Amino acid sequence: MLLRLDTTSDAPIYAQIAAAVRRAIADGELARGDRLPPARDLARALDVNMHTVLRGLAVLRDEGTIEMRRGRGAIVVSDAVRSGLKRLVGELVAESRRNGLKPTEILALVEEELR
Amino acid sequence: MNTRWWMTAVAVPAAMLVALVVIPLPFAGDLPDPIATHWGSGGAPNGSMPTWGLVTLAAALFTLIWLVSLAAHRGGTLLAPVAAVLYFLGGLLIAVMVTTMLANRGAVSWTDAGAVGLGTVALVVGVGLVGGAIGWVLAGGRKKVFPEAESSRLPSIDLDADDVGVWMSGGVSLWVPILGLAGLVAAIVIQGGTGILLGVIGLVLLAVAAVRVVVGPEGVTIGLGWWGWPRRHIPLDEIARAEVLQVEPLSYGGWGYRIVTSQVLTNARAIVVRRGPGIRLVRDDRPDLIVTVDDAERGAGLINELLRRRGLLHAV
Repeated sequence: MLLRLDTTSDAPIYAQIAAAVRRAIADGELARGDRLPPARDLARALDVNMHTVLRGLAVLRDEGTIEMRRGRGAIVVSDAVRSGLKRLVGELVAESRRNGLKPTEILALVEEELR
Repeated sequence: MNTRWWMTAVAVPAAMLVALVVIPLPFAGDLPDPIATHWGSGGAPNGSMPTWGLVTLAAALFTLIWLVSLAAHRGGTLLAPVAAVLYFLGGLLIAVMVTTMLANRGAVSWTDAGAVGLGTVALVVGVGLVGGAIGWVLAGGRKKVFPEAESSRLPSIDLDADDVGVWMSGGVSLWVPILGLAGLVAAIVIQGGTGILLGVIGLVLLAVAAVRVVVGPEGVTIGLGWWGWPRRHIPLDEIARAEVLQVEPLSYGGWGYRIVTSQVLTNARAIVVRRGPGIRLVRDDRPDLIVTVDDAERGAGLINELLRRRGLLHAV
């Protein structure tokens, strides 16, 4: 499992950790039922305080993305991030096709929006 | 799954199973019911069974060993010794089936079946041995896979320059934890010193049954066992580069923590919990560290990327 933290972000570190987990779910790196690394290991790998990691995990728990069980660690229980994005992309592709756009033109539209 | 896998682990065993079921068909009209299935030392039949019973028994036995063989595979091939045992059994059962049918052909009752002597038994075992040899060869014989086979390649990972990566994975053994748990159960059931000894052995087995690896900007942490302890931290600046290799436990002297001194791996420490992919941390002035872990390609890739960013990466 690969978590990626955006170093250009201005958000506090605990929020970056939560964002990294959401991002991993969005791109399919983490799926429902997957277990997150122990907070202690994550803290050590990132050289941050373990309480910072736990705070990030608490955000994810409160929003219903993960469940935390004593002794079993944190488990991903919702992939709403990914399914929501996939639904929107599906709508975009369907609408573009209906209007006769070719795949490269749809991609060009998305790239334009990303700039 | 490659061609060799389909051939050795699926196609040939499936053909053997079909053969076991099909062999009695051409003899169907000529067999007594039940048929003779066991012969005494004098060569005369002394045991019987319906034909379908013999077929079911042989097919069930073969299927069982087949499934166990499939479960024992790692890394997309059958181990040569496993394939040899499976094919030996297949050849043996097919030979048993054919000789049994031939002995029973034309008999009115199973007691009239032809004699089966030592010559036939030797023939049956011989067919089995030929089968075993074929299995051994098809599975590629005993290969010694050493890391040098892949060492020229440096794994990499696709990571944005703005992103910091943390990778985590583990390696789990299939059979060892079962033995370890059995040891713990024995410790509860058996009183006294033997029980304590078995319990300690069980704990040691559980410790070598799994490994957990975390890679981050601070280095590589390797935790042993289900509980990830004892753990060992290797700072990035101790590492020259990371490579991926296929670990064959038999080439490392077995499972667990191994000190490897072979001609190709002159000085290495290996944590081997299973067969298959592992990460090799090449270190200057220190022994290489090898650990069997899933998703090794990306783990090694991230280590190399982190080293590259810090200017620590030494390619070959």
